[in-house]
Amino acid sequence: MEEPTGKPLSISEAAQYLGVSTATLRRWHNVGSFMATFVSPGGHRYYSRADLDKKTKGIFRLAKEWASAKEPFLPEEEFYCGTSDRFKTRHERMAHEIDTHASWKNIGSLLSSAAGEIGNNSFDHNLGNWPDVPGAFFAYDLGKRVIVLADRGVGILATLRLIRPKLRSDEEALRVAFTEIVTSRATEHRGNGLKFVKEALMHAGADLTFQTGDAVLEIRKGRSGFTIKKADDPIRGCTSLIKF
Amino acid sequence: MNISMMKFGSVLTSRQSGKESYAAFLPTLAGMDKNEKVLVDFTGVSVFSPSWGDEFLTPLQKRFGERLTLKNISNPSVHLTMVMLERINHAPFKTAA
Repeated sequence: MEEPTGKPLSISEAAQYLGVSTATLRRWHNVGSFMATFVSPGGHRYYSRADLDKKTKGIFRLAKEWASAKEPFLPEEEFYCGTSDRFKTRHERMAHEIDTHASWKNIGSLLSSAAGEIGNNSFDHNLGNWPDVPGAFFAYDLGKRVIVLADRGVGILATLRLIRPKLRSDEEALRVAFTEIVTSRATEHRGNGLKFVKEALMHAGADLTFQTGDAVLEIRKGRSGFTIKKADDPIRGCTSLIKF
Repeated sequence: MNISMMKFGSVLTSRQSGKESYAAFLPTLAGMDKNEKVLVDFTGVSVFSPSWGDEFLTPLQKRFGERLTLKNISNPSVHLTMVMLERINHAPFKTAA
């Protein structure tokens, strides 16, 4: 696996990376539209590769690229939760940031809870079975009102087949995961998180685009239920885009 | 007995954390009187989920049945989690304002 490139870029390197002038980068920094990742005590501006990629591609595209890559690689450190503890820490940070927005008072807990269920699912259903890169991609941009999660796990179909061996397709698995109450053993209720996600996001008036395998489920604000369609780029694990 | 959920954290979402919290609380439950009631108070909890709740509330419900009451469940994620667990377990929770 390739290591993420962690060394920050100088302003001239960042300008070259983005294809803009250093003057433009300085202006963006000064008006606050795209700030340097950090400024050295001497006043030099530095940019992380993650911030630059976020600027050029958007976090959902980064997540999809990572989840669908034939050759596995580690995502940028900023977006990568290799363990459930790391996900917990970052998820709590997001929940607290959402909490500070008074206008999201009625939807914040539902958004954070839904994101928590999706992220925790990645770990709960893949622990000890990660096909290659363990863990989850987790990024959010509250300014743009998006939350993105992804994993390179075994996917919903393989997970649900453990308790529903007759499931045949990703589409069928998605439908079960988002609608049916699943119980594998009397004391085991795993597999019901996505039904909660659906209801939480519908209550919050949020959109969800959720892909596993070659099936994409879409929940859209103001529409009842969900739709499932074939994906352009099949993946093995899952990707989620929450827009609110 | 009153159980203040806030003491376990304000963001309670992972199954693992719910399981650990219940295990840590078992010794406290062991010291209860035979017919004592259990009041679970959600004041101060900002994010709750069925995964955490299933590891903590479901065993409490099985153990205490009618003696268990949930209180201050107005947070949307707490309320929706409660509804979801009731559907999964086919057992309604008693609630108090």
